[in-house]
Amino acid sequence: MKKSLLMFFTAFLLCTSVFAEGQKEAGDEKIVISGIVFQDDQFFNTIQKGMQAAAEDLGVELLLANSNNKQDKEMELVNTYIARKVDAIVISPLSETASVAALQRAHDKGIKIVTYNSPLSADFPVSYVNSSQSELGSGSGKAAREYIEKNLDGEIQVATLAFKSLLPEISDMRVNGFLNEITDIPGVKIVSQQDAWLAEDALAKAGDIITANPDLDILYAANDGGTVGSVMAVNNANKDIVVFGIDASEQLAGFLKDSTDILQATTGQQPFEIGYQSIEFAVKAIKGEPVEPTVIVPGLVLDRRDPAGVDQFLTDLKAITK
Amino acid sequence: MYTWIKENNPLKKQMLLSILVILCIFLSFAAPGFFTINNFLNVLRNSSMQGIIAFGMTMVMIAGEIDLSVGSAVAFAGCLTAWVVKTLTALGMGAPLAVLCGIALALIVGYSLGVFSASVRNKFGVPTFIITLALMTALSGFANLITGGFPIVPFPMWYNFLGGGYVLGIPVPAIMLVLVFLIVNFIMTSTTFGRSVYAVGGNMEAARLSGIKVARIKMIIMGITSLLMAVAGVMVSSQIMSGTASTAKGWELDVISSVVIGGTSMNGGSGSVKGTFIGIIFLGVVVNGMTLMNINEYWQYVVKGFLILGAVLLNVIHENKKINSIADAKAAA
Repeated sequence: MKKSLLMFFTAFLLCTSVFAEGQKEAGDEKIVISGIVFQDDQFFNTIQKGMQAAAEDLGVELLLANSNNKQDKEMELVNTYIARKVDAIVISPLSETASVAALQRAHDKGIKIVTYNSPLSADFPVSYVNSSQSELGSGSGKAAREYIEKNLDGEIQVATLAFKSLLPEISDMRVNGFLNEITDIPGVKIVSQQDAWLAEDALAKAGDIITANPDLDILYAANDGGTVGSVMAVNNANKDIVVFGIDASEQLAGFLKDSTDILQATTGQQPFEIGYQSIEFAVKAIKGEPVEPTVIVPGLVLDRRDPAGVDQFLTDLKAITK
Repeated sequence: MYTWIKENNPLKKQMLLSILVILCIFLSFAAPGFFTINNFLNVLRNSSMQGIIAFGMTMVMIAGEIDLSVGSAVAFAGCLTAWVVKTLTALGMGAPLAVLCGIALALIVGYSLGVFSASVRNKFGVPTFIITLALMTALSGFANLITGGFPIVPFPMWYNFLGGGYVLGIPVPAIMLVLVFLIVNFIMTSTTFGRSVYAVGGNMEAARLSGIKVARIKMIIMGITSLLMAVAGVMVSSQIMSGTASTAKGWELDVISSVVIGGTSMNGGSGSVKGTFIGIIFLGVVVNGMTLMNINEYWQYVVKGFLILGAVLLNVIHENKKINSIADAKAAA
C-alpha cells in the first residue's frame, strides 16, 4: 500500500513536471511556418521575398522549399513538415486534387493550411490568397479601350499571344479578360490568336503575325515573356503597332518609359503582397484570430501615361530585389 | 577513301529539298504574306539562332556524339553576358567595353564547356549524352544563380543590333546564319579536318589506327559547337534585351530534329551541313506557315511532330534503298 502510494505520487509528480515543461515551451517557442513554392522564377522568387518580409515583421520562423513542379516532391515536403511539427504550411498547390491528400494529413495533425496562387479542392485551408487572372486581363483591356477611343478608328486589327498549351485556364482568363473590354468597340477585329510565352518565341511569333497582317494595330500578350517578345518584334518591324501586356518587370517598366511608344500599358500581379499576406493570415490563424477564406490581391496597372506610377513600381522592385 | 562523298548522297538532299519546295508552293497560296521577301528574311531570322547551333551539332553528330546541353547553354551564355555587363557598368566601366568583356567571357566559357565535355568523354569513356545532360541541368542552375531568378536588363539600346538589327535590309542574325554555314560547310567538305570528323564517326578504331587524333578532333568540334551555343545565347540576349534564365528551353530537340531531318545519321559517320541548312529552313517554314495561317496552337504541335517524323522517315527509306542498291551492285560484281 505504502509502496503503491509512493509510486502513484512519483508518477503524478512526473506528469505535472512534464506538463509544466510543455506549457513553458509552447509559450516561448517561435511559431514555425513552412512556405512552399513550385517553381524557380521571378514570380515565385518575389513571393518568397514577401514571405520573408512578413516572417521578419511578425517574428516567426520561416522554412522555404520548392517542389520543382513535381507532385511527389511536394508530398515529400509536406510529410517532412508534418514530422517537423510546423505550425502552418503556406503553399501554392501543384494540383487542385492530387495535392489534397498530403495536406489533409497535415491538417489532421493540427497544422494550419494557407493556399496562395493556385486553389485546392478542399474546405480545410483557412485562407486562399490569389490574384484574379481575368482582372489582370481587364486591367490592360481598359487601358487599351482608352487608347483605341482616343487614337484609332475604322477597322482595328488585334492579335493576341498567350500560353494556352502551358496553363489553359489562366491563359484563357487573361486573354478573355482583355478582349471583353474591347470587343464591343465598333471596328475591332481579332485577326490572330497564337501561343508564345518565352520572349524569344514570342519575338518570332509576333514577327510572323505582323507579316501575315500588315495592317495590325494592337498586339496583346498575356505574360512577361510574350510582352517582351512582342515589343521587340514591333521594334524590329518598325511599324505603327502598339502593345499591351501582362506582368510587371524591370524590363517592361523600361519599355513604358522609353521613347519608342510601343508598349502602352501592362498589368502585373503583386507577388510580394501575395507572399506577405499568406504568412500574415497563417500567423493569424495560428493565434486563433479570424481570417478571410478568400483574399484577392488586386493587379497593378502600369501605364505609359502615368510615369510616376512606373517609377514608384521600379523603386519598390529595387527594394524587394535587394 | 571516297566513302564520305558517297554517303553525302546528293539525292537525299534533293529529296528534302523537293518536299520543302512543294511546301513553299502550297504555303504561297494558303498562307497570307508567305511569298514575300520580307517573310523569307523573317523565316531566316527566326531560324538563325537554332540554325547556328545546328551546324555545330551536325559535326558533333557526324562524329558519333551528341550535345544535349543546348537550351541551358544558350540561356547561360546570355545570362553571363548580362551579368558581366551589369557588374562592370556598376563598377564604372563604359557600356561598350563592358559589353565586349561580357561577350568575350561568354564565348570563352562556352568553348571551354565543350572542351570539358569532350575531355570527360575521352578520359573516362562516359557517353556524351550523359555528360551534356548533366551539364544541361548544372548550367540551368548557374543561369538562375547569377541572375537570382530575375531577368537582368543592363544593356544599352544599341546592343539590340546583334539580334534585331539590319545590314542593307538583311537581319543581322540571318547574316550570321549564312556566315556560320559557309564556314562550317567549308571545314566539313574541303579540309582534312572535316574528312577526319567523318572518319571518326564512321569507325573510331579505324580512324585511330590510320593516325587520326580522335580525342583531339572530338574536343575541337564539341568546343566549336559549345562556342556556337554561346554565340546564339549572346544574340538571343540581344534580341530580348535581357539575360533571362528561362530562355531557349527545349531547343536541343529542335536543333537535333533539324540535323536529323537534314539527313545526318544518328549513328554518326554520315550527314552534311547543307542538309542541316535545308532541315533548319524546313522547320522554320513549317512554324512560320502555321502562324501565318493562324492555325490552332494544339494542331501546330501535332502537325510539326508528324512533319518531322515524315521527313526523317523519307530520308531513312531513301538511305536504305541506297544501301540496298550498293549491296546489290556488290553482289552482282
